Amino acid sequence: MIIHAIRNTLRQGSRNEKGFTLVEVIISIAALGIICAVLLRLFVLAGATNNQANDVQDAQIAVTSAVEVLAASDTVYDALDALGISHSDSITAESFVCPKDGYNLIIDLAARGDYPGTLYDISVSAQADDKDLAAISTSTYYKEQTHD
Amino acid sequence: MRSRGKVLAIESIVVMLTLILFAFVVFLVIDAGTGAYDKILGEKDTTQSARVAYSYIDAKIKQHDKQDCISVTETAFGNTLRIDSGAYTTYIFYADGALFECLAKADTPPKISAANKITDLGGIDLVDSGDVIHIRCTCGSGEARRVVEGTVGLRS
Repeated sequence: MIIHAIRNTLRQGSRNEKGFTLVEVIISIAALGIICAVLLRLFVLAGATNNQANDVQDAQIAVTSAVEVLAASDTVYDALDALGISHSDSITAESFVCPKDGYNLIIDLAARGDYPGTLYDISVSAQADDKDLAAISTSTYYKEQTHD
Repeated sequence: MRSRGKVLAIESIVVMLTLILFAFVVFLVIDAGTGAYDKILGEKDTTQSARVAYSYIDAKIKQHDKQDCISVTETAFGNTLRIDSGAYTTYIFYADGALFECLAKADTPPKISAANKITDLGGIDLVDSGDVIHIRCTCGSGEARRVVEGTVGLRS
């Protein structure tokens, strides 16, 4: 209905002949061009979303792997050494940042209670642009607390 | 009258050219869309295969995490995950572009003819570091190459 009205208006301004005028064709093509641009934008967005999904998956595996290493080690120092993180001789509450490809792996350790060993609250997260891609929190009991 | 005919002819040519240009742009958009779709689907497939292989090995290790039960050994197929469970041994290895699992009698080497195919894969790399096992699964090639790697801790 609207297209018909526009067509009539345009036609009145030009020749009184049947068929489409150049202006009508150009307007139609411009409209379809905008739709094409939107579609292209969607394709780019789909690619970006796919890449983001891959990053999240990588981050999830990295976080899980870090927790596995932290839980499998005898001491908190061994765990940090295995992850290639430099640390001080005494860790009570500390945060470590490991830069990875496309995100940062953040490991928060906090000692809780003091038995023959120490119970540590472990929080591992992967962040990119201040956004959490993946995160795991757990607790691990380390039998030894001495560090060479 | 002649001038009017000329204008009409030019107008028709311009309309035709514009339509041809539009058709060309539409073709490009469809081509770009097909390319993007193929690329995304291909990446998804390779990621899925690598992830399936990684998860399978990860689950197998966790399932059989007992004292001296899991090890990484060198067989005819290269790096192989060995799971000893008494009379039988399970081998998980890469061969002929796929991940295979072979259940064999203890101390009998794995055979591809007796193995079950798990998923298509580009390759695996397993490293036993005592308390942990590093797994690296590769799938695809070129730009579509995807690597899924991680570490599994041994509690035993």
